[in-house]
Amino acid sequence: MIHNRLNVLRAERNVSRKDLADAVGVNFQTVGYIERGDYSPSLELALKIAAYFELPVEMVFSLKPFEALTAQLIKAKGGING
Amino acid sequence: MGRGSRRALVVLVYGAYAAIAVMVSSGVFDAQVLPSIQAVTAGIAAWVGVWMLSRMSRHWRWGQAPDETLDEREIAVRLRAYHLAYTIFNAAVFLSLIVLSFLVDLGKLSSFSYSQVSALLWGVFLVGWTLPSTILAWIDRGLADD
Repeated sequence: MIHNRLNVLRAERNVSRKDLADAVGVNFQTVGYIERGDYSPSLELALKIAAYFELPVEMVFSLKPFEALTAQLIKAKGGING
Repeated sequence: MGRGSRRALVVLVYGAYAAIAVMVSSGVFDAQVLPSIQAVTAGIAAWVGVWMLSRMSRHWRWGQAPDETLDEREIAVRLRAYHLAYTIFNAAVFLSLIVLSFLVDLGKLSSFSYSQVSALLWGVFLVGWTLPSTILAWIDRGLADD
């Protein structure tokens, strides 16, 4: 299974499923299936999606589950009291 | 259209086809209608049925659409449906041939009427035509089904 951050990225940039789907040339339902983890995109589609968000592909898709953003923030600040 | 409604539609359509096949094979139309007229009418009715279904759910168009109009996931799901349809159709034809060979052995083949053979042939045609789309409508878990 391929994990992804599409949900977060779309929400952060206020991009609808349809906008993203139109930009990368797929049906908007396919974006939903990818977000849900029910469909693993081809390398070509993964690269197109990453290019749309102007991010490296490994920041959008991963073979391991992504760490929660709050956990990452805490780590970046050097702990809860950091 | 949700998966539950689609599955109900599939049952309804195949139920209607089965009912029509039983009516035709029972010979109720034999006395009044020429065989060629029956065949053409059955073909038109089948086409109208499929056309109506294609208006109700995109899955019926998806099954027949050219690859260029689909994305990679849709093509992958359709390939799975084609594979299932091929397996089911192949098994059905194989079983039918086994039954037919037993009927030949028992000397029962000549007892079939034109209407019964016609219903069987149109049934094979209809199932062969609609099975991939039917399986797509049956298996696809749309986002609305969550």
